[in-house]
Order: sequence, then C-alpha cells, then structure tokens
Amino acid sequence: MDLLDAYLPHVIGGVTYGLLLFTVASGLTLAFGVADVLNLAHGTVFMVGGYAAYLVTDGSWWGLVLAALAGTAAGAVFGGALSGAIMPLAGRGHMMQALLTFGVSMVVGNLLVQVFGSAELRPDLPDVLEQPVVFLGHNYPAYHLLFIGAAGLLAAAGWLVVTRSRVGALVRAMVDDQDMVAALGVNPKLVLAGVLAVAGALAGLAGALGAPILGPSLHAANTVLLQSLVIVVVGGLGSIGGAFVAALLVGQVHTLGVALAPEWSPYLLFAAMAVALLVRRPPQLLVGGRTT
Amino acid sequence: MTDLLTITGLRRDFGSLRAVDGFDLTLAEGDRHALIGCNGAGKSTVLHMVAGAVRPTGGRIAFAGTDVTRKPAHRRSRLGIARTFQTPAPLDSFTCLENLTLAARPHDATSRWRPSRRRAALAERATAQLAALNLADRADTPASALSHGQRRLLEIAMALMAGPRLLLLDEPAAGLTDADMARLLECLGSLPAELTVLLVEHHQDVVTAIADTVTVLHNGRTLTSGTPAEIAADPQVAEVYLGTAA
Repeated sequence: MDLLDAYLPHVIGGVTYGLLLFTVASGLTLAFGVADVLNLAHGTVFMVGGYAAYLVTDGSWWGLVLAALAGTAAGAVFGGALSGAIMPLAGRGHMMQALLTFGVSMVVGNLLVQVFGSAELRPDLPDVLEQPVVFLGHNYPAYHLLFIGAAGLLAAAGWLVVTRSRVGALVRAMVDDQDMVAALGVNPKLVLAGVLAVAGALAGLAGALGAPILGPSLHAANTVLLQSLVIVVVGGLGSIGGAFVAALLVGQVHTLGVALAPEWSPYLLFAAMAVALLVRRPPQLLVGGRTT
Repeated sequence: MTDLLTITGLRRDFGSLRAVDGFDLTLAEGDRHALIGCNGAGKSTVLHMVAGAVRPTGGRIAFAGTDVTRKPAHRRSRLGIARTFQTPAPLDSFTCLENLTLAARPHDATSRWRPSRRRAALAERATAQLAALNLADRADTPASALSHGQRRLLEIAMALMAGPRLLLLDEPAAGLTDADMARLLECLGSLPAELTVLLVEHHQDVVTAIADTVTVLHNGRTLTSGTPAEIAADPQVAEVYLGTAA
C-alpha cells in the first residue's frame, strides 16, 4: 500500500498526460484512418493552440473558456486547412505528405518562436486553479484534476459521437467505402473536410487546455507529435479506442516509468511500443482501420 | 410517357483511348434497358458516367429535366439515381439493418424534429425490405459476414431504400451461384413498375428476364438496339461476340 501511495502522484500525472496525448492523437488517427492524411505538423497545431490560450487568458474563468474556444478554432483552421491541402497527395504515398508537413511544421514552428520568444509562456489561470488540492493524501495542482475531468468528458463525448450518432456512422462508413457513401447521397468531400477540421481542432484544443501542463514550444510540438505517432501505431491506425488505451499507456510510461527507472527513461517509450506491437490485438473502433 | 433519362453524344476518353464515342440513349419512366457488349465496349463507363463516378469528356446527360452532366455522384443520388457496384459494396462494418437505415437517411422526408419516430419508421422500412429479400434473419449480421449473393441482394436493397426513380445495375449477376441467381431474378422481377432500370450484364438469361430493350455497344458506339429476341437473332451481334467481324 505504501508503495502504491508513494507512486500515486506519478500515476495521476500519467493519466493527465495520457489524456492530453489522447486528445492530440485521436485527431491524428482520425485524419489518417478516414482521410488517409498523415499530418506531421500536428504537433505544431498543438503549439498554435497553446499560444492562442496564452493570448486570450487573463486570469478569469471566462478567459479559460475563451482559451478553449480560441485553441479549437485556431486548430481547426490551421490543422484543417493544412490537412485539406495535402489530401490530394494521398495517391502519391504518405512520404510526400510527411515531408511537406514536416517542412511546414519547421517553418511555422520557428516563426512562432520568432514571434513569441523561446521562453515557455504559461496561460494566466484563475487563482483557485493554481492552488494545490489534496486528493487521497497527496497534493495535486488543481488544474491537473480539472483537466482530467475535461479531457475525460471530451473522450466520452467523442466516443458517443463516433459510435452512436449518424455523423459518426457516416465517418465510419467513409472508412469502408467512399464511393458507396457518395452513391447513398452524402457528399464524401464534406465528411472528409469535417473530419480534418475536427482533427485539427482536437490538437488546437489540446494545446490550449494542455498549455498549463505542457506549454507551447518547439520541444513540446516535437514531443507531442512523436508520442502521438507512437500512440497511433500502437493503438492501430484509425482506431480511436486503440489510441485511448495506448495514450494512457504512454502517459504512464512517461511519468511512472521515469519515476521507477530513471536511467532507462529515454528507451522506455520505444520498448513499450515494441512490446505492444508484438502482443497487441487492438480494439478497433473504426473497423477497417488498418492494423499495422 | 415522359423521358426520365436522356443521354446525347456522350463521350469519354482515357488518355488516347476513346472508351465511349458518341453514345445516345433515351429512357422513359418504367423502362428496363440492358447494355451489352464485349469487354472494353464501354458499357460500364456509360453506367459510371450516368451515376456520376466518371466525368464525361463530352456530351450531355439529362435526368428528369435537369442537366446532371457535371453534377457529382451524391447530388445525382439525391435526385433519384441509385446504383450498385460491380463488386457488391455494402458497408462491411455495419449490420444489414444499419446498412439499410444509413442508405435511407439522406432521402428521408420525415420530420427532423421527431428523431425517435423517424428512427422507428426507418427501422420498420428497413426490416420490411430485408424480409422481402429473405434476409430477415440476417438483420443484425455484419455485412462482411454475408455470402457474395447476399451482399449483392443487400446492396440492391440499399439502393431501393433511397426510393430512386432510376436504378443502375453494374453486372448484378457476376459471380452468383445458380441459387443466388434465382433469388436475384426474383428480386429484380418484383421491382416497382414505375422504376426505370439501366443494366449492364453479360448473362443472357438475366438480360432476357429483366430487359424490355437492349443496346449492343461495340468500341464505344451503339452497334444496334432492339428487343432481347431481336438482338439474339441479329447476325451482326453474333459476329461481334464471336469476333468474326467482317
């Protein structure tokens, strides 16, 4: 019990970080699974959301709500437009998309640093969220607990939309057969545009709400992108349920793993990925999501 | 009788290959028309152009008084053109019932403000449609688990759920067993009388059973057209099919 108690803060921290990554990775896996778009500027979209949050927060609760909206909108516009622009390249293989978006991410990332400076810019939160909260005998930043609640709600809402709603059904149908969707009388381009905008919006929202946990920077953009790619691969391309499990796993590796085995920490993520690839039977939410 | 579909001077080039070269066809409401011809004659390309999956290089397609030549596939579907694919394409990750309700939704005119009533009405229609095709016991089976013949029937049922005025069938009998073929003919025989059908098919039996008129395509042009009996007796057609053209 004592051992569990000692590591509880790391576990909670891992859940926080895992949910943060899930919000980013779910968009990446959705865009890949449905629209066949691999956007390596996804981490930069996260960064854009973080700066948007920094710009609009003023220490009030409304500022925080505004930050979420601004991050979502900025992500939908930047991420959605970029993904839409590279969709026609899908026929020429993912390498073209990867190179182009990687280049865009470097250019935009460095421009953002030019504008905002290289210091980590923290959004201005309401005071009460900056206070520690006692939970099961440990102190936690209040904001982290709020974030777990918000991201958990978002994940649940996303799950309901994808599995239960008509829009979700159309998105899943797009994975099966786009020509059939068109033949049924639904504009497949409209569904694709919506998916790409939502994918960007999720990264922007994660950047905005995640900024107090992981502030916007080139390093954050690269870390989030790399870990999201690991999550997408481990969870199964196009599988949102798989991404959820993988994100929580990566979150634990990121915090608990580092606390338990600090000297191994640089390798833990990739060791975990190798193990997961060897043993997994991914739960595929978007059936038809590819498995390798 | 009013003309439902009017195709004039339809052309399609694939690179330097002219797949369809000045094709004309007029269909009235309730017509059952078959396109036949050898492989590469341009039958499927014509069907794809009517469905909106392939853009014509030239010519005009009018449907129910509207020029649809440049309209995308989903707009044509909304106007009342339904189709099936050469390889049956029901949505694999959905059950049979879900496939049908999903197919019906874009065309459903029931009030949006009563979602539960709307869902119930759609489910009822879908269940009736499945029963009509002897697939009632498969309602909750994923489409991926169906046999080829059942997938074909399900796909036709999906097309019918839209309440179309024109049904395009791309080689519906391809790959069917004899038992499946009997079921397909039964299904096609019970189509509503006012529904217009344009069919691309190799099987003589299916063409004879379904079609009132037949057009023979050869190298992207109309070779001849007539009733199935006339076509079967035409020496020109036999020449084309047997490759003994003069």
